[in-house]
Amino acid sequence: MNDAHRQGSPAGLAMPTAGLPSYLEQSAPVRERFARLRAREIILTVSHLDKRFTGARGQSTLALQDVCFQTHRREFLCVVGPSGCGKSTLIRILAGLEQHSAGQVLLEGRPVSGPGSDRGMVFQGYTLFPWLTVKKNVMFGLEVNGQGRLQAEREALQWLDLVGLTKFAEAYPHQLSGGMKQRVAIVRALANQPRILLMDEPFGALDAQTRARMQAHLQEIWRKIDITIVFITHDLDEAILLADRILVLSAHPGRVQELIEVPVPRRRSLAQVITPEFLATKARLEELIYSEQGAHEPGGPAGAEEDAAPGSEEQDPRAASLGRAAQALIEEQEQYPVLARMTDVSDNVD
Amino acid sequence: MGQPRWLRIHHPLSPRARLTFGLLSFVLPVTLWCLISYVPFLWHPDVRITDPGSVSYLDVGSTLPRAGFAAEVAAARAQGQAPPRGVAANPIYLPTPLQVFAAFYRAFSTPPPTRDGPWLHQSLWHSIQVIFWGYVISSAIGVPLGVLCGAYAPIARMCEPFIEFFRYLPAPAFGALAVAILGIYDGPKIAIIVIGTFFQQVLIIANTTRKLDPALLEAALTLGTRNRQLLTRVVVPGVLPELYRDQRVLLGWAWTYLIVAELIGTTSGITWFITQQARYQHFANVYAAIAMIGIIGLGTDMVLAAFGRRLFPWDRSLARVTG
Repeated sequence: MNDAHRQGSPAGLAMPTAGLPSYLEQSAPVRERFARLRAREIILTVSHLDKRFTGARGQSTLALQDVCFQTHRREFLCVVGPSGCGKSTLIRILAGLEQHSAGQVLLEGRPVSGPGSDRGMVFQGYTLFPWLTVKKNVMFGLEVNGQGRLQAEREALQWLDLVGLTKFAEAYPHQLSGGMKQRVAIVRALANQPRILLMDEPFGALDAQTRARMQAHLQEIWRKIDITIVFITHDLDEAILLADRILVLSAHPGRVQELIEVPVPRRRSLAQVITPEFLATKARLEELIYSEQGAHEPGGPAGAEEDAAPGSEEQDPRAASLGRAAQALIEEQEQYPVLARMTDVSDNVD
Repeated sequence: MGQPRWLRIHHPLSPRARLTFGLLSFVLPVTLWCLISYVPFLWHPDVRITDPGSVSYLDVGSTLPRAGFAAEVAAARAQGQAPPRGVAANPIYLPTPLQVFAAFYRAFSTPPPTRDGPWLHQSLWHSIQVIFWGYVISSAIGVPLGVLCGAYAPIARMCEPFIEFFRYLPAPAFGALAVAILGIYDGPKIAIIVIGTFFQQVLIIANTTRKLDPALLEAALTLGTRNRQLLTRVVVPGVLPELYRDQRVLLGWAWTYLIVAELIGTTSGITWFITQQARYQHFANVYAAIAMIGIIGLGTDMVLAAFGRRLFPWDRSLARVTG
């Protein structure tokens, strides 16, 4: 499916910056890493997703049209696009905070209906509970999902240790800096051990330095634990630095323009922003987002599928079996102590 | 700059400046009162008689307006009789600060006029009990209902229009009805305070609950929170400091209904004391009693505010208010 969306990419088109290699060229290690990535199971499937808003006077606006993509396990997917392309709407639909009008969202084969602890979410505005200490914020998700207090506390402390905030366990959110708050928000979402972590411009409110530190931090977390991330950003450098693949949306309505495999080798660092691969990718992104050239014909007919009724508990056998497999995997991992899913994911490095 | 720093818009005050201005808010009106009481030419529209002279209906200590006094003096002079003498004075209903201050002490040390009548402190305690029960009964229903209205739109739609209507009905209007139903003692008094407080309370609490940041609810939802837990673990703790502040305001509200409530059925409590003293024109005592209500009210509120700061150490809006 991801290949299908590359059809619109003008591979032979002249690059705006002369002397750069094509962003489609991948070195052997990068190619191998993508091969490994594609070999992993699919975590999230978004197919023919439409979102229509109805205004106060009954006029309707199409915010998302025929959005299709898949993410593989342990993939880092960034979503970029001009403002108004529906990035936030897309991620809110994935989180279950908004209903889609048509199409399907499948998490490990099961349709998503409403918010749930299988999808963690990190918001731009931190959204820590101000009345709870840092530790209790991290314990929150564990406790509402039936975890005992002692166990929850032990796990929360381990998560705080992961982001270096053990010292602040008993502090209240208002005593933390923005970057620290966002680290708490990330581990609060991760403590539930979700299948996927959704991040809606999480570093957008941070200053440039903190932002760079947080990007490094997030990569570090992602490298250590088994988590798939969908990350919304309007910062192209951030997208290239973090992502395995970048989903580029166009505006009005939001449509998939291209799904780019980032050719920059991992592990990544800020030093790479001047490498040819990085610059080539950025040139391509800018071309897609800031110029008309990037626009291509709309994909399939809009609204070909009627409302998929995400609330219904339809369970086709394939989805059910996938679900069972995932369940078995989770159970297997739960034999280990806390943070069982912190695996060595060395195959994410070239 | 040419402008003192504390006069800038939204400029926070230093603790010392806060104390100074806070004291001034009391010192200024008291100073005004002192000036009017002790500086004769400022107001003093009456004359207090020191010697009635030949005028038969005047007594030592009684007052009459300056114009009337001047007419009496002129009349006595014209008839060649001894004119009355007096000093400029304020009307009897405006006692001096010192008189009120003395009355404050005397009110507690004076035994009740009748053998089985209550002492002032007993009257006050009775009033406080009426307030307390009125407030507790109102809050026991009003706060949960308000939170539910704020959290669930159907409940709000089902309750709020009627409550909006009811809150315009003046509580004292139900006095006679309350007496008929609840008797003449404390029942109807408590009922008036409940009626006066409850309907405002539901609307205020509901509004406060609605002001909870929806992003917190969304965050809780993505963490797997459901239904009841969303209410008990997010909505209630999230609005609690605001709710506490509302409750403080509403306690003040309950006090304002006290006097009307205590007039219903058999007059009791501090109101009984006030009406008694006013009947005998002991206005210093009346002022002292009114001041007592203010002192008790402000005192409770300050204690509650301090308690709130301990209760909600994480609350930032409180920090902004108190500097």
